[in-house]
Amino acid sequence: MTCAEAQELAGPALDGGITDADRTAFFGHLMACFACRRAYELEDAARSIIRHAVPTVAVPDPVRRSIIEAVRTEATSEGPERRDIWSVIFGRIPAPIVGLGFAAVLIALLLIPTGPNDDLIRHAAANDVINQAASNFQLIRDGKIKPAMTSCSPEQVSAYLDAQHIPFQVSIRPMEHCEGYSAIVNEYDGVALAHVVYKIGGDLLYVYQVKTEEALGAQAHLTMSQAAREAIERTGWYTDPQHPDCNVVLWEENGTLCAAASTMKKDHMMAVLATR
Amino acid sequence: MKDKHKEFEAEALPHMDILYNFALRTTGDPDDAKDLLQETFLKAYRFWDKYEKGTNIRAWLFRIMKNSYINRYRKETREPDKVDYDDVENFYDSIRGDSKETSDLQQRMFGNLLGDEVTTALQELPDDFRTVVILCDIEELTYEEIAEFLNCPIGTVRSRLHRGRKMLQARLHTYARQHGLLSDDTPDEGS
Repeated sequence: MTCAEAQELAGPALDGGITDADRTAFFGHLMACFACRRAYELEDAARSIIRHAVPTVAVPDPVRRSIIEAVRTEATSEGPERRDIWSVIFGRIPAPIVGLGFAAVLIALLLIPTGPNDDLIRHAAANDVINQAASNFQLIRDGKIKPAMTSCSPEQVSAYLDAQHIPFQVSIRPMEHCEGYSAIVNEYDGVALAHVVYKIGGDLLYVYQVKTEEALGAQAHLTMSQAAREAIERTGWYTDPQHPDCNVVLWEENGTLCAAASTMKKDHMMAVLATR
Repeated sequence: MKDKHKEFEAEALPHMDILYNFALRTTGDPDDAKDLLQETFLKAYRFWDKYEKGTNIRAWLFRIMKNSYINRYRKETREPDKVDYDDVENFYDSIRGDSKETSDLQQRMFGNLLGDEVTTALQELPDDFRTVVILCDIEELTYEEIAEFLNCPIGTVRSRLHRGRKMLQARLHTYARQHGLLSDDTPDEGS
């Protein structure tokens, strides 16, 4: 056994994470090597000091009570469980009513006021989903981001996306009057992202996609404004009013958070998205 | 809602002690530890439906706490952790130069350090290293548990622990020397 190997095994030998064979070889090496023996004894000494000098403590009673109380308050302030908007629309309703449902959703979305508070919302953080979607859209328009795959067939782009083993369901669908479908995948801070671009007439419709948990979950790497978060949790949709040069719409679909940005007029964009 | 609350109280709250200790050792301040603990439990309650029943709840709670801590930390400071590897190397040079056998190495190298001093040295470690040292040496978790907590391979746990302990030894030794806790024949750093 070399000194380097012995030093790697010093920790496991102390903590009980070593096989019998390694243990025999390790202590055999220590018998013959003063430097490794000394390093091992030192690691043992430091470990022992930490264990004894930093004892574990119980949560103080006032802290415990305050946390139990905070959770209870959270529990009592919770509303009834939210139902997924798409299961509400598609779940048990006959087809003609679904059509009316779409129309109603579309009208409601167009009528959602973007009140003065929304104007105060900024998405400056680099890990903000809306900021990323709007910035990427601009880069795509400027030709600074080039898709890895472009085709007139959505099936071909879908096959490309499947081959990338993205850990969430990427949404790509055939669209009327769509001249081309493009896609690219990448990572941001270790989070997988998929980007789909539709060319419809003279407009581009860009859809940024990420696993919902990465933006809305307890351990999310990405962020979203409180307003967007609440709207998506409440209705499944959010339209962002911050962008003078494009419209940005977010929705949640099958565990995937989608953020669409486009120069299309808002009503056209909503109509295209509502056909999904 | 009642069932959810009941279930949460029964499953999550029993792990408050280990989380509090981790929060305390990580933040170094009882008020911050309380805030971090409360934030962790509130987030865990809000996302209770995302917890997969039957999996390691302690690891799930721990990951929420770790992320909350990182988010807070990142908000408050943009300076990344700095590791002074020179300290570590100097310390090891001093050990290599010390050819005397001793039956009381701990006393000779670290003196009678108090809990506060050890806690301070621990808090000075970079996050990744401090976390594994706390989980292994204070909470006495196994490598497998730590790997699950941190969602990383066991090899990573092992190497971070090894380096974390080395850094800690160097800091404790320096600390003991600065406070005159070492005997005269203890080797100087770099000697």
